[in-house]
Amino acid sequence: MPSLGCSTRLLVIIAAVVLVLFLVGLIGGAIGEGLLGERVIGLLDVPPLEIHSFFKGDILFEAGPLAISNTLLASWVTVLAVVALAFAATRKMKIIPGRLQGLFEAALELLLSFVESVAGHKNGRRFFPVIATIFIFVLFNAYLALLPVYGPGIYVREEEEVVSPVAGTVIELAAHPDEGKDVIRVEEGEVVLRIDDGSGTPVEVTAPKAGEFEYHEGLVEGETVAVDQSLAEVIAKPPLLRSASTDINMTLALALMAVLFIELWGLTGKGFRNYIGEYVNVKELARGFKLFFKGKVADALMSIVTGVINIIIGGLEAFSHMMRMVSFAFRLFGNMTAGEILVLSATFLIPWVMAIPFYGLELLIGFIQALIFGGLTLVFASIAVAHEGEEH
Amino acid sequence: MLDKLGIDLPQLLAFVVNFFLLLGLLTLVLYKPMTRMLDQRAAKIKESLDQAEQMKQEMARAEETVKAQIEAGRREGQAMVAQASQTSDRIKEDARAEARKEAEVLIAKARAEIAMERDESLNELRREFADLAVLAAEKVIEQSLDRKAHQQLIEKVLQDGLASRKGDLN
Repeated sequence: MPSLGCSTRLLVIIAAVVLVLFLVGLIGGAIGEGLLGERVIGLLDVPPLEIHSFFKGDILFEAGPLAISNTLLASWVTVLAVVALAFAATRKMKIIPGRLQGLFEAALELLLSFVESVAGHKNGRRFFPVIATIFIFVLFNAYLALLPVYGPGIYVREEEEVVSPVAGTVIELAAHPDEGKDVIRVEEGEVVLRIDDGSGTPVEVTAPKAGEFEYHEGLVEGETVAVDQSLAEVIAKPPLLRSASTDINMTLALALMAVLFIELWGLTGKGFRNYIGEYVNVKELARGFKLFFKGKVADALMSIVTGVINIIIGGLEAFSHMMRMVSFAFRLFGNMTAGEILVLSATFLIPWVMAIPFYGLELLIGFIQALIFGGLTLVFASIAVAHEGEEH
Repeated sequence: MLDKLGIDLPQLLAFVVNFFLLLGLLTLVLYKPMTRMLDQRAAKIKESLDQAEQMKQEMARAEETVKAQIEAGRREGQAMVAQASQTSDRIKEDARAEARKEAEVLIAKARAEIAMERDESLNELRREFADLAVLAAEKVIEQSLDRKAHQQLIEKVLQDGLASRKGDLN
């Protein structure tokens, strides 16, 4: 038997623990609940799978004109983490590197050699900071988002649902928070208040949504309430951090930057006239009109037709460049959001053990997406600059 | 439509600013120092390699010199050995010649001595013979001068004399 780094007995124990966790997860999770009809073990208090703010992060607070969303906060965390790591790695640079410096150097050199192999030495060095930043940013966003502190943002509702019942006298406050806490988790439809509206049978007031439930201060049993008086709130707070790549604003911003730099490099590489000429190609058309006025009608018509085709091609070129941005943005957004849904679904169905393979998959996908975003930017940039060589 | 997609201009701008912030900061703390370090190291490695190459060349040159020196030493040693053997041959030859000469001298001396001794013994013999002759003559006179006896007497004397002489000589 090949060595696995530990004894067979330990391996058996680990396998047994994993199996037990799997079985407990199976029974305690959503599948178990579905099979057995009720939740046997209250393992996971997974919020109901309902997509609230799918495309963008949830607003945490307003800072002047800017609303700080949890995805924006997450991207700041990413920036901080990356810069801190990079700083630690390059703080005391030595010719003979230490571990961290060596790791960063190896990774960066790999990236640099990749960029240089595609774009050549000179252009590679020019493109490298932007490509590397895109790669690192996407990669770290994806990997940091796998940490437990990042919430499954797209499933949690942020708005407050007000419990505003019929008029009458409060008989009972049905949902009681634990000692020392003022909020309690309630499920949708859970009875939170019983009110006597004078009809003889008490009216049950239920929670309109699942989430954190809180009575309003001063609400006591025996008090008479009006119809429009708000009595309690169900608050589902958005998580503080949410994977930045699940925000279309972030992926679009990144795509904008990628396209901006590609066009900028194309512009500086080709010069303004050639660059504009790619999109608005009127040379042939102008020649056609010139010929027309000289009286060579047959040649002129030919040139005019070619010119019109050129203009259409230029327009298509411009359109395709715009589309790059859209595909950049939605590819990353879609992959990362799908990953979140996948991991959460696995956790929801069979908690604990089933999520592990999907975490592994997410590590792979995060890397691939970073490579695709950076690599495509690099390839487009190389193409944009390569025209320059052909024309000279 | 953009609003329904969740696109929000301030948010978008915030993310754009964020990107530039990251780009700037990373350029400052990562790309510039790292690429500088990588280039520096590449230069250093190139320099080291050049130096190593130079050292190798120098070493090869030194080795060549040492080899030449060893060769010269060997040749010198061989020359010395040859010279020494030549010298020893000569000395041997000289010694042999001298020994031969000495031996010849010794032989000559021995021969001379032998000759002298022989002469001396001959002289002595002659003298003794004379004595014997006288003695024999005396005997002859005393007895009869029988020629035959005389002859026998002389013979006897001579024999005795010779015998005694021989015993003396021995």
